[in-house]
Amino acid sequence: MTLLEVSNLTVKFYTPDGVVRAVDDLSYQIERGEKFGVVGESGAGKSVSALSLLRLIEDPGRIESGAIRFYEDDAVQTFEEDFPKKVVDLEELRNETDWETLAESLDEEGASAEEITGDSRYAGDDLTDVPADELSIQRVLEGGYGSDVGLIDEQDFIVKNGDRSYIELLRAPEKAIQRIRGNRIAMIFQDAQTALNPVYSVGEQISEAIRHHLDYSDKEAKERTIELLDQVGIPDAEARYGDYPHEFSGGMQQRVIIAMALSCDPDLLVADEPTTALDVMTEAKILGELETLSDEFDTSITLITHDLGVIAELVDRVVVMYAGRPVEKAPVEELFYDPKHPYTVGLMASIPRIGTGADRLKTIPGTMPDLIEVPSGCSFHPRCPYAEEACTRKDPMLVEPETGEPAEAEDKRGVSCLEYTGDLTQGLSFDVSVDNPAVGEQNE
Amino acid sequence: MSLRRFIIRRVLVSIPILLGVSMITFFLVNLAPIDVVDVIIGINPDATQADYARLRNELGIDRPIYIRYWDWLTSALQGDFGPVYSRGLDAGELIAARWKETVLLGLYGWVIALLIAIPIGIYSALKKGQLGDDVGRFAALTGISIPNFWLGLILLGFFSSQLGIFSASTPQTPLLHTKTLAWLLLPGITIGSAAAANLMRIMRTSMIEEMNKEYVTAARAKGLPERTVMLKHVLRNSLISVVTVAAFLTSGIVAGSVVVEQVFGWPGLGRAFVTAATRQEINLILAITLFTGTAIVLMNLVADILYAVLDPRIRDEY
Repeated sequence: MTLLEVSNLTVKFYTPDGVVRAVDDLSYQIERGEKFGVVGESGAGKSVSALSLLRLIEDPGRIESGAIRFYEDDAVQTFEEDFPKKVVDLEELRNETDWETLAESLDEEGASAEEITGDSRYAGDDLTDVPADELSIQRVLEGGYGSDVGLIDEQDFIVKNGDRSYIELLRAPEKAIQRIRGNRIAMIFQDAQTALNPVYSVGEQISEAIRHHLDYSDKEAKERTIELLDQVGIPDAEARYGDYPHEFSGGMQQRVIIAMALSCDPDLLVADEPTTALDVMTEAKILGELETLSDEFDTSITLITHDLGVIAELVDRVVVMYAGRPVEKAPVEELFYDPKHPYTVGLMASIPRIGTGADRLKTIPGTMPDLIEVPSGCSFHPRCPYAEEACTRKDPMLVEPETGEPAEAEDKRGVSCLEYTGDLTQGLSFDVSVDNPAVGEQNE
Repeated sequence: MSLRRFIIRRVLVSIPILLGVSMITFFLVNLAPIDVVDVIIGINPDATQADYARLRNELGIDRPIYIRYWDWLTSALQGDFGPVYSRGLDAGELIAARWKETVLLGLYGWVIALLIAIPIGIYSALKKGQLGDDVGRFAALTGISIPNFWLGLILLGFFSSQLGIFSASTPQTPLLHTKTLAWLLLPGITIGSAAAANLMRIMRTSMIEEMNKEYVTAARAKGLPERTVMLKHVLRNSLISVVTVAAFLTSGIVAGSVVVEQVFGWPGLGRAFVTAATRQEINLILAITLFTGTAIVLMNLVADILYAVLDPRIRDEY
């Protein structure tokens, strides 16, 4: 069951030097209880995509388009009670809609028949020519035409759809999103030292969220905080409740941040490089604890990192980002043993390995492009050893490598390389060899 | 370390500082080309050289300066600051009679400065780059640029001569009477305006700086309302630099009181100081300087304690 769906998310930063496309048409789904990874080089748009989930992008950044849907029945229910005027019931809409008028207004808005029906047979047709039962209200809304054709109000953000009800996070008013933040979706920040307020005790910083979201009394919140501190492995938690951030070591500060994120028992943890600032021993420990806690509370995790080792250790499914776009989406084993995108192959090759006898680390030549002027076509083509003329022209889509069909469903593998839509003449000629340490030793 | 231990240590540190202040005050004032004997004898044509020498000996002025400092310090500690020759009373008595006026005016200036600076500073920071912010910054720049004697005269002229709602003579009511407090509004604004302008700028800048820190994003990510994020998390951190600057501004308020008391005819130490300086009353100059020096040291003490209250990291110092 999907918990969170990110759909065609685009985030731009309007800097004095130009418009930076930090995230460009990113889509992925996170399942309930799943550990999902977002991996890429610095500047690939990982952190921005993470902050977007909670609508924490600040000026000059703006979420330009796309949707983030949060499928949590409990949340939908409480929001329905508190924002009764912002609810859309798809079942009701289906019964009430006059399909002919809808098709006409959709044509006026320039909606494509293929998009609304989800059927490529109707590509290029007018919607008025399509049989009415092929139209899907859900697709009309997902395409962003809902308020244009008068189906819904611009501000409606609670969508009831049988047992697949969801909240449109990007449409939700600030008051509603504040109730999601920290409560339903919580964030673990990279640098605990800067993410903790230096002038409040760690106990206060954790318990304030508990008091705010769960309506606990001061005493109850304090008890829960001490419990949490204990759970994340802070020794002598009760005595340390009143201590200030500067009185903790880096690893302990990170544990405090994790306790803070767990404080309201969220459905989704967004961990932005949670262990990058730590030494490897602490990193291993904290990742282990994160895994245990996620299993224990059945919490989904989105792990954002540049570190493939961390991905391998913790994550079930991965999306690889390059220059703000997803280039490959796969279950973690498949990504490591059978990478399909030249960039992923390059990333794998650049992991240092013991026993291969190589003197130098392999790197991908070149650097990631300036996101103000992204190369035309495939943004990886200037660094890609297999780039052809077509790569400079055609924008690759995330497609299933076997069929070349758009990889929309969450369980489908997706690669965004022209090879898989049959546009390359030479093909990709990399070999993937899985190292067996024993073999490596024999060779030497 | 606990806050209480910090405060005790910080208070103890103030003692040698005060001693230093008294020493510097005494030696600097004694560098001034003032001869007390001249002041006492005045232009009496009958005084002989022998009279001068006798008086010098009686007053102990012919002894080495460190002995005179010791004498002065020990008697000052007992409340005896020496006579004011032109008035026929003790310098200590004069301070005792006047200090309340000056302290009240100074505090008044402070309260007005803070009441103006903190809200407008916060407002400017929250509306950064918008019209409200521009107006606030313009007002701050104006406040810094206007000398307070001029502002005092303008206010006095406008409210007293033009509008007739302000009496140019000081009220005869007791100090804490509402009438007195209402009257003090103009001198208070005059004395507090420069500090208000400075504080407003610091408040705005430090708030904007703090707003960009990651703990603010983290606080938002916790789902706290924007109001709590700003007034709980950002404000407390921004006040740290405001307190630091406020401590420095105290001396400005003390110096301002000299001018403002003169302009408004307020009978405080500032006016007494001007008289003392023109009449070369060395004991009174010493006493007032020591008093204001002590006041500044005390204000710094208060600022440091506030600093430690706001920022737990400071408590580990000292």
